[in-house]
Amino acid sequence: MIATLVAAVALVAAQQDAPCTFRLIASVETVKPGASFWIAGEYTMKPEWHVYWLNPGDSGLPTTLDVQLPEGWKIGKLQWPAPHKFDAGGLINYGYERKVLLMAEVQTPATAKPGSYALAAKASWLACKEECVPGQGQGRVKVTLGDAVRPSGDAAAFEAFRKEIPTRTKLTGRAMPTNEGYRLEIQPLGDSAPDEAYFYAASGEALSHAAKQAVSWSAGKLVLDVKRSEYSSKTPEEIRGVLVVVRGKERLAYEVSLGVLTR
Amino acid sequence: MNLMLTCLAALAIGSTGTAPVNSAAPTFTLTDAKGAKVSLEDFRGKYVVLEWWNYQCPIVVKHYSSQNMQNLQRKLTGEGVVWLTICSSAPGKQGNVDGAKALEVMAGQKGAPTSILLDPTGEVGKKYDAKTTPHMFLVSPKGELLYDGAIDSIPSSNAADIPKAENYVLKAFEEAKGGKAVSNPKTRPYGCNVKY
Repeated sequence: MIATLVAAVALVAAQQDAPCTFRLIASVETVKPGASFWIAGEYTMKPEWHVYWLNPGDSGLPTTLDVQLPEGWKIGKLQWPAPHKFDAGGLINYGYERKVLLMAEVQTPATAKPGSYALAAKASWLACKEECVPGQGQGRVKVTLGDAVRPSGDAAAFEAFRKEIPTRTKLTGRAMPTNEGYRLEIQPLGDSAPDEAYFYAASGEALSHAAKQAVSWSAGKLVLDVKRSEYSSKTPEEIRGVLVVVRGKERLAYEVSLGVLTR
Repeated sequence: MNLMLTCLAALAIGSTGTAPVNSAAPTFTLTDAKGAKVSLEDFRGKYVVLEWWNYQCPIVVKHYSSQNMQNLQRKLTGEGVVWLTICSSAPGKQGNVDGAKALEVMAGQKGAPTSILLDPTGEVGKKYDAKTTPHMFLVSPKGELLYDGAIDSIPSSNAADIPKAENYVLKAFEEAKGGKAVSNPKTRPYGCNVKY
């Protein structure tokens, strides 16, 4: 008994000392059979530490979440909030500080019996400040299928992070190969040039992370001159990623897929 | 005309990184952990592996705690390859070692590089554009860069992935030794950033 307690205390101490802690959370306590809700891995970092986006940039490793569901339940694609950029001595990384939710929509079967169900997940991450510490976590959360809809205590966090997920508003654009890389042209993005814009490529082997992206505005089109990745062995058919546009205090993110023109 | 185009393409690639694969590997002279001067040119006629190293980086730990790196060091040096482990961590930064500490750490892990080279100014690391630990390079007996990139095909911090991964350094060496072109001469390295 004492040994168990000591072990438990040690575990808690280790968790508190860890640069990143993990919880599995659900947006609801109770939903009706056949309804959907959201589940998320919540990664909480100590100040100055970060974990990584699906493309971590020049170093680091992507954060992972692997959810195990009850039989017959279905899960949608993992939604990654728009990443942020970190400069580590000239190397550029893409990721998140403070806290991030990686969420996915869960569909319950209409035929499921009412009752309490357990969902589980495994997560892994590399947390870095100057140094890096890899971490692994496991989480469990219970969701009840009943005749009501009751949000969970974490519902507000879902709402907050949902705003960070890039929108799929149809932006059209293209990528024109240049000597150094590509000229990306994207529209419509309003009537005036944004204060800042940056394109986060989803593949780590498409664009240079460290090269400056030259932003210009031409007749209602946002133009970004970006450098090819040194790991890009052949020209891709399309360049996918997240465009982040800043106007004043507003930071908007768009999921973008740009066809590459042949020269 | 074709030749001209090839040259231009090579120049274009060169301007994005430092040393394009198949061109001359940047030369250098560094002090090793025992205090001797070691130059890349000393090893003309032999294959040379360069391994960027920070013993406190968890991705480096992945490859040493599993014996993966040491096994590769022993296998390749057993075939006459020169293995240079290079530490470019700046003084005060993670993984920075003096000669005595480097030897102590490497002996403790039963590592088997030919030499450990100290690059506290980061000069050689920057010449090679070494980004991560580990970041691996293979130099041909003629001094050409044959491989620049990751240790293997699965970027992770989990040692359980090593048996499932393809070791790119071993593959590049075996292809080159067999007289073939290296099929994957440049890959994206993974790990901690080099602590310049």
